[in-house]
Amino acid sequence: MSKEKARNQAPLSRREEQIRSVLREAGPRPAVAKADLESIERAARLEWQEQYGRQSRAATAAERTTARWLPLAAALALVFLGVWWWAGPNFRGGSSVQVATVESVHGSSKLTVGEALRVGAEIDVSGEPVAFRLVGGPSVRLDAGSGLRLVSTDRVELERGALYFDSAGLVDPVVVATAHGLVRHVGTQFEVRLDDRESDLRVRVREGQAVLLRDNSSYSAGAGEELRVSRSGAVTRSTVAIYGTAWEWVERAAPSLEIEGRTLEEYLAWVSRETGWRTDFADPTLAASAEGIQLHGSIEGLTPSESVQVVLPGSGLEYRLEPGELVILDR
Amino acid sequence: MRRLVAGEEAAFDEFAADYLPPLHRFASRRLRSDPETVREVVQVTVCKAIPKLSTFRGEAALMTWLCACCRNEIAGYFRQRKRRGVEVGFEVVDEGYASADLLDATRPETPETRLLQAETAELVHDAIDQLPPHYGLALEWKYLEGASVREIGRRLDLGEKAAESLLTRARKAFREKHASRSSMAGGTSPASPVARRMEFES
Repeated sequence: MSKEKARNQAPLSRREEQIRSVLREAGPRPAVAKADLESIERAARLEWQEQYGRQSRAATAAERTTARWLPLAAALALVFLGVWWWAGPNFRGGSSVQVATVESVHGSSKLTVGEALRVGAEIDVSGEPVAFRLVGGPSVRLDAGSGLRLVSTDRVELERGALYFDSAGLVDPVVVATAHGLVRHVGTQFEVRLDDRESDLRVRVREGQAVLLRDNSSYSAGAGEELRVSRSGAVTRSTVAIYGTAWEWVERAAPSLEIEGRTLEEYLAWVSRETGWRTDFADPTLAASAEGIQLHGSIEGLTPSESVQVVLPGSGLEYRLEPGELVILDR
Repeated sequence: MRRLVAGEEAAFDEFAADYLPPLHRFASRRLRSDPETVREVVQVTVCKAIPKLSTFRGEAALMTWLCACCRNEIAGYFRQRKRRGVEVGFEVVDEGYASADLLDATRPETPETRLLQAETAELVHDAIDQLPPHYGLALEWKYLEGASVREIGRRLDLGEKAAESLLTRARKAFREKHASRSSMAGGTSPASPVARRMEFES
């Protein structure tokens, strides 16, 4: 007997038997008349095209305009590149020193994974967030609508939008320069956001500490704290959750973890770091066995919190989410 | 949702296939009216909801949100027609009936038990319709058709492990949803039979 056949013929658990009984007694859901559904769908599609088809048409029109001018632009670019290259490094005014490597991109982006970023590189993110890693080890993520310049291996200038910094436990100082002050980390995960609705600058710390230097003063914030520089220049400190929707863009930008061959313990440490959740086992003996559970497969394309829905049940475990905590249970 | 508001046709096709049938059943159970009225109410609901999709922030499941919109349209329909709608076992309970006991096929059939069985079946269908779209399908395929996990995965374009974990989540969600639906249908009138919740083993 094949494994699949054996699985199908295996007796159901009592819970499954209850569900089967309820569903069978209720019977299948009644089908909706095809004519009715088609009529509703037609009307809905017209409304949807009216509302959202415009955006799509505008994008298509922009693409057509680009396509018309592309050959001329390409020719001009080639000429410019030729002159620029011939003029040599001094004219280029840049440096060949590599500062960072692109780690993840989502959607359409001019950047590619593995691309080297050099001193002076300017990064503009219009679509989905991107992530890159500085040569010293720290990870930097940029939210959609952000602009940043890589000044050196330990200094970046945030020109607009938001940046998330994860020092990955390293202590080499990296400075985030903004028009409203410098943010220095001390073993940290933090976010710097410019032109938030309520302030000119906002610094949120998830782990460790960040120090804001401004107007000859320094302001520090620890894990779960936020510093705001208001429009009037006042600096305030308040508490903030280190998990939840405010950090969703950071998760989306996270480079995926290769789980093949990793232990459950390693995977959970990564989930905790990326989501801000504490991970806890309902049973201490289960916690002890986490080191011995080896994972297989891939979570490519899933955010860390999405991956939990696949990895834990696939490991024969259940879980529940409480505010800021992932509790793992045996099935 | 992103693809839908970006104007992707394929995203609209998925939205229509996943949400229109359960929304229609939701309205049909509450209106108890002719098909033309149900179709009209659902059509108005969806056409009013579509412009608001771009501001939908996902605090609730999309189906939950659509049902709330539909409920408003149904209330408006009844107000317009100055008629009191008959709501069976969901929000307003006339007489508390719904009980999984009454699905027992060995009981002698009377018009009353047939009505109660139909209402209880509706509770189950309502619970399934409120689940994320693929959950309901996976449960029906597994427990009504007897489809294998592999076959379910094939139909949903998932690997076997992903299909198994989807079924686990679907069972859990169904237990929770059905328990809350059954408890809302509990009788309050002293003259009514006492409704006993279908309690799944914990």
